[in-house]
Amino acid sequence: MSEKRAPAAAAPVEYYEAHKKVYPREIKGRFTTLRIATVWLLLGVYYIGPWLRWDDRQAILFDLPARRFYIFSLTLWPQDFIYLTLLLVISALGLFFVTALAGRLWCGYACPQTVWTEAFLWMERITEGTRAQQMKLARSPWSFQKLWRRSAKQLLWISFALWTGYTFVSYFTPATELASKVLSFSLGPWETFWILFYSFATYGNAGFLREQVCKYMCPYARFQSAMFDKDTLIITYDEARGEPRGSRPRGVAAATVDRGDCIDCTLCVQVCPTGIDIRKGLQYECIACAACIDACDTVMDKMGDPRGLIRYTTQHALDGGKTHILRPRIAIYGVLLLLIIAAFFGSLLTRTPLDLDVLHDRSPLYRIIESGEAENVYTLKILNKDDRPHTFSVSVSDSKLLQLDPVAPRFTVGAGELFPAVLRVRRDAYAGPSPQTITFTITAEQDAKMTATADSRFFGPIR
Amino acid sequence: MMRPKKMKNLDEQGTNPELPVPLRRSLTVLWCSFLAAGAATMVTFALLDPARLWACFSFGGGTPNHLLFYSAGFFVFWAMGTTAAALTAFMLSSPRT
Repeated sequence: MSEKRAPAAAAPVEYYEAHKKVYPREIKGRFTTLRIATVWLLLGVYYIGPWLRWDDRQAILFDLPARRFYIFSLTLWPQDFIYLTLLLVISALGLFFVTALAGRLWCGYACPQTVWTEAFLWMERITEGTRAQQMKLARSPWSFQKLWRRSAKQLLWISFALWTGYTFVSYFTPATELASKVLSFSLGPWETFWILFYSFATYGNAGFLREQVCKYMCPYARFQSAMFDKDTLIITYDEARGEPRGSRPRGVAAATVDRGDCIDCTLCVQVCPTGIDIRKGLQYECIACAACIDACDTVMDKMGDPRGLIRYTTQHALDGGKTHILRPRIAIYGVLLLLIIAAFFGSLLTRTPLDLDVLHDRSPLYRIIESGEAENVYTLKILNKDDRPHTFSVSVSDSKLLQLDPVAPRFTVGAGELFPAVLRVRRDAYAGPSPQTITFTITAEQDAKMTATADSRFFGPIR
Repeated sequence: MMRPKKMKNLDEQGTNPELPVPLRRSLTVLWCSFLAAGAATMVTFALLDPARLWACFSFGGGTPNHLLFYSAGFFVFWAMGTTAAALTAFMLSSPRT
C-alpha cells in the first residue's frame, strides 16, 4: 500500500467511438438528378395517394375494421390473402433480380430511408445552408443566428414528419374523415398513436439516424452481398487509373508528373451520405447512391480528363474482362419472377369475386317429412365480393333425385355483403346412398361468369 | 475478391460500435422482433377475424374493437419475439464473458 497509485488519467477513458454526424456535401450531376426525380415521384405518389377517389370512395384504402382492401377497382378480402403473399414474393424476387443485375439500385434510389433522408437533407440545407455552413454552425456557440436556424429546421422537419404520419394513417382511415377528426380534435386513441408513431419514426430515421439505419438496422444491407457476383454492377474507383493519387495543376497530364488521375480532392468523400471513402474499395456501407460518381465526373471535367474514374462497372470489366449479363443466377431469378408475375396477374384477372360456403345443419342430420321423403337443411353463405349487387339462382347436383325447397331459390346479395341463405333439400328416403355428396351451384342472373360451387353431404336413413 | 475487407470483422462491427454492448444487444433484439411481429400480425389477422375472437370470448355485446385486437396482437407477438431473440442472444454469448 506504500506504492503510489498511478495518477488518474486526466481525460476519462472513452470506450466507445462517439458518433460523428455525416454532412453530405450538395452535388449536381446525372445520378443526383435521377435520384431527385425518383424522390419527387415516390413521395408524390405517397402523399397524393390517399386523396385519389374512385367512384364514391377513396381509391386506395386498407379498411382494417371492415377487413377489406380497396385498390382502385379491386376489392380484396381476407380470402384473397394469397395475392398479398404473391405480391410480397414478387417484391422479394424482384429485389434479388435487380440486385444480382445492377447492385444496390434499391438502396440508392428507391428505399424510403434514402428518399426521406434526401427530403430532410434538403430542408436542412434550406435552413442551415451548405455543408461548410452547417459544420460551422455546429461548432459555433449558441447565438440568435444559430437558434433561429436550428428552430426553423426543426419546425420544417416536425411539420413534414407529422404530415407523413397523417398520410400513413390516411391509408387506413379515409383521409377526408381523418382531416375532419384532426380539425375537431376528435381522433381516436389508436389513430393518434399511429400518426405520432409514424411521424416520430420518420423524424428519427430521416433526421437523425440516417446512414446508421443502413449500417446497423437494415437486413438487406447485410445479405445483399449474397446476390452479388463478378458481373454485378457496382460503383467503384478505378484504382489502376487513379493511383498514385496526388494534386497537380489544371491542364497538366497525370502521366507527366508520375501520378494517377485522382487529384485527391476528397470531394467523393465529402458527398458520401454514409461517410465512407469509395477509394478504399467496395464497402458494405455503400448504398450505391452514385453521388461520388457525380462529384468525380465534375472534377475530371474541370481537369480535362475523361470521366469515369469512379463509375458504374463490374468486377470482371475492372479486371479487364467482359461482363456477362446473361448468367445462370440472372436466368433463374428472371424465370422465377416471370412465372410468379404471370400466375399473379392470371389468377387476379380470372378471379370470380364470389365465394360460397355451405354449412349443413346437424341438429338433426335429417328428418323424414310427411310425404316419406328425407329432408336436410343447409345454410349457404354467399359472399358477393363484387362492387355491385347481384341476384343469384341456386341449383343442386343430381336434380332428378334431389329437390330444392323453395323450388327455384333466388337471393339478392348487396355489394360486399355476406348473405346466409337457408335452403332445404329433399329426396326419397332410400333412393340414394347416405351420406351422399351433393354440389350446390350459384350463378348470377345477369352475369353467367359470376358462379361458384361448393360441396356438402346429404344424409338419409340407412336401410 | 468481392467480399470487402470490412466484412471480415462484421461480428464486431455489425452492431453500432458507438453504443455500449448491452444497449446495442437490446436494440438489436427489439428491432428484429419488431420486424417479425409485424409479419406475424399481418398473417394472423389475414386468416383470423377479430370478430370471431370477440364472439369466442363473449366480451358481452357491442361491436368488436378491431384496432384493439390488431394492436394487442402486435404487442403480444413483439413480446414473444423479444423473448426468443433475447434468449438466442443470451445463449450465443460466451459463458465466460
